[in-house]
Amino acid sequence: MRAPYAQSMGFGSERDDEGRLVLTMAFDATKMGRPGFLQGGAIAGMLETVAFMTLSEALGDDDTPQF
Amino acid sequence: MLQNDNPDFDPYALLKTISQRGHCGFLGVEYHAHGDDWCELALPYNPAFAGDTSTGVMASGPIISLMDMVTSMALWLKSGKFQPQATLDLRVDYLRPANVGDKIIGHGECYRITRSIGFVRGYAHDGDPEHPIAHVVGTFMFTAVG
Repeated sequence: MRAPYAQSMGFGSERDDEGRLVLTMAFDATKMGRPGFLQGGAIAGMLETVAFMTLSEALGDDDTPQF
Repeated sequence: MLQNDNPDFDPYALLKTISQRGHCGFLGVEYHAHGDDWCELALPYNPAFAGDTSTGVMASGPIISLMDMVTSMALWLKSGKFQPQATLDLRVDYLRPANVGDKIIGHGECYRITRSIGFVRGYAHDGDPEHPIAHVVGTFMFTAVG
C-alpha cells in the first residue's frame, strides 16, 4: 500500500474467494476512542481507503483518482 | 480564547488522559479552545498520515477522527459531563484538500441534546475559518440510557 496513512494505520490487504480486495486492521490502543471501543474516524478512514483502492484498481494504473 | 466556566467537564484534561492513549493520541490531536457548547482541537500536519505520497496531502481519515472527537467534546461540554456514546451518524462534506504542512483546526458545536441523542455540527479549516476544508453534521446516541 503506497499511501503513508494506510501504512501508518497498519492496514493489511488480502483477497476473498472472488478476488475482491479485503482490507484488515488490527484493533489495538492506537485505534481506540472510548477505552475498549474503536474510534469512529479509524473505521471511516479504513473504509475510505478500501473504497479508494478498489476504485483505483477498477480504473487501472493510468487513471489513478486524485483526492 | 479559553473559558473555564464549565467545571464539570474539562476537554483539555480528557485529551491529556484517556485520549492520549487512543487514536487521537496516535494522530497527535491537541487542545485548541473551548466554550460552553463548543470546542476546537488541532491536528498538526504529519507526512505519515498523507493519503498520497505525490501530493503529501493529509488523508481524510485523520480529519474525520478529529471531527468525531471535537464534536463529542462539544456535546460533553454542553451536557456538563462525560458520558459514553456511540456515533450514530457523522456526515462529512469534504470541500477541498488541506494545505500541505498546515495545522488543521477542527471546530465542533453541540446545538441540541435530548434524553438519548446529541446533535452536533462543525467544520475544519487550516488557518481561515471562512475557507473551510470540511463541514460536518452528526448525531451521537448515549449508550448508558436505559
